[in-house]
Amino acid sequence: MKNLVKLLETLGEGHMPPLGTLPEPLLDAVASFSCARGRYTSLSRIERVLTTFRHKQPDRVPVTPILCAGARQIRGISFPDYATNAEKAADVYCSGFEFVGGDLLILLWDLSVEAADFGQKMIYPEDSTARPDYEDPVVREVDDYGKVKPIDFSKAERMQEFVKLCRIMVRRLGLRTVLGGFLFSPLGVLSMMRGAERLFRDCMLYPKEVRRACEAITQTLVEFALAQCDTGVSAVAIDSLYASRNGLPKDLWEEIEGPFTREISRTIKKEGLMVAVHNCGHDLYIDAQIRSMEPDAISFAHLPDDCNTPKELKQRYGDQVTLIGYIPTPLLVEGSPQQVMTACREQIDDLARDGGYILAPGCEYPPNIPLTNAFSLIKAAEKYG
Amino acid sequence: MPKPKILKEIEEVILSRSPARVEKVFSKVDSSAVAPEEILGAMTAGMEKARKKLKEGTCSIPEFLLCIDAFRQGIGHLKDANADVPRKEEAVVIGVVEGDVHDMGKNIVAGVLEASGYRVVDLGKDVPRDEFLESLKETGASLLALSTMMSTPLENMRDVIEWVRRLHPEVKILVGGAPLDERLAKAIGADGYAEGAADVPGEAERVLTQRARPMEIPVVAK
Repeated sequence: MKNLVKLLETLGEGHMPPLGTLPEPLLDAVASFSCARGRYTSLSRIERVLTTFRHKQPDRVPVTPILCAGARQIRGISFPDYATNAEKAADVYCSGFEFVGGDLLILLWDLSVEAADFGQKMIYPEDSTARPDYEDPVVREVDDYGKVKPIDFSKAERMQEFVKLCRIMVRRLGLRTVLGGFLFSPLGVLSMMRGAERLFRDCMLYPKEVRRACEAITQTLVEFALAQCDTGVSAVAIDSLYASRNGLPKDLWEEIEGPFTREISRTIKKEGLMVAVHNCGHDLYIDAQIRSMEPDAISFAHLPDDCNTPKELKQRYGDQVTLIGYIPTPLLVEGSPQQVMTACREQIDDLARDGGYILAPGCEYPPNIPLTNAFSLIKAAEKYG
Repeated sequence: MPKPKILKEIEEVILSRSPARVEKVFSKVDSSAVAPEEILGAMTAGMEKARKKLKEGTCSIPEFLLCIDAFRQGIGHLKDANADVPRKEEAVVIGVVEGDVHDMGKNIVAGVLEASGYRVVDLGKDVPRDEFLESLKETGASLLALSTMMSTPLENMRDVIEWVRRLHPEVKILVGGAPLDERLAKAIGADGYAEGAADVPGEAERVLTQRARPMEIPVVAK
């Protein structure tokens, strides 16, 4: 009864309740009902996404173009404004949603939000993603790892602004779509403060020092995750790029970062939200990430290290996680709409059976290219999904 | 004649991932007893093993970085001993295009090209078009290797390629980086594409032995 009251309260506030607070049989029943309904009529975006997350077949494959900064073209909002101002960023996301469409929205600014608040000097280019100033890293020497401490989250400007973005988006679109927050994993944040190349060497030569810094960063990331959970978003995505061939060897990743991503994931799940993993690296260690984070979904750009084909991926992991992806960036940049739609159809054929799949680019939509192929993704989901 | 023991040690220590061990082995080398070409040969053999392991997936990027460091430590020792470090004739200019500062991939490729015997001119990151053009003019390099990890600077990469075609049509162009694939590389006018550092030597060899391309863009009079 208490849960029902809470459910009605959150709906009254204009957003979805945390699904993890609802009984599993209820969620399955709702998904089964939507699955049956979807055979005869269109589902709402929320129904469609939730049905697929429960590994049941919706009316069609859900799709997300992961437009992010790409949508700033619609209203001519600048990159720096998008990256630093929650209201303007929300205008970008909302205009992308209204103009292009999609069934869920992943709110992702850039990979330096957290590092900026740990004191990393930032550069905000006019025509590109915000990035650290690597000429002035926070961690200059190995000894500096010991100086990395948790920060006062109330004073974390960029993270607080991102939380504000989440709140604004929930207020504007809370019952129209599924919204997801985002954070970079501890090792990822550290790479923004040290430089990836130096960090990789340090992981091999000074793993204890790196781990200690990850522990400090994780304490702040837990607060960041909790703050996002509190806004009414339905999921939080953890970007764990270095759990792939682009990063550390698998056993070293599990040793250095695995436990911290587990802690963050558990924090999110305890609040009743879904956990998604984003990893656009080659040969991602999907098994290790499932062990560490037990995610509800994985957004990927390349096949994992233990699967040779998408069919094999679906067979091996399709009932454990919802797969989100994986139209390649180069195809979106240079391919014709027809070529993009053909690639979408192939992936839908391989991955969409029995739900548990959301069509998406492998990573954020390239922000400076025309939106034509974002429309191609939407069209492909409608036509072939 | 059996290889001197030290050459075997040099070959193996490249893969050791221990800078201290590398230093220990190279400090034992008696340059009067072993020719620099033999030392370099052993280092190159070690790097070739590392490159194959990288390609197979049995050597990770952090491990490979330490192999490159070991190779460069060895080059440092040879130079300290005033040894002549033989290089191929071809020079390579390499850099990350303007608008991007992610240089780890480029640094690894530069290391692989050095280990393969090329004379490498590394321009660093966020390199403007004109710096690439100037370097090609000064060095007479036969290969230009361009890198980017982001989609936003792709237009800059395309621009560099276009100008190189105009001003240095004899130069072959190799590209790599996360937002690229073979198809896009061709579409923006590159001669070759390497998905990873392990593929670079083979791809460099392939494009350098290609027959001269017909001119596709008219030469602009200077």
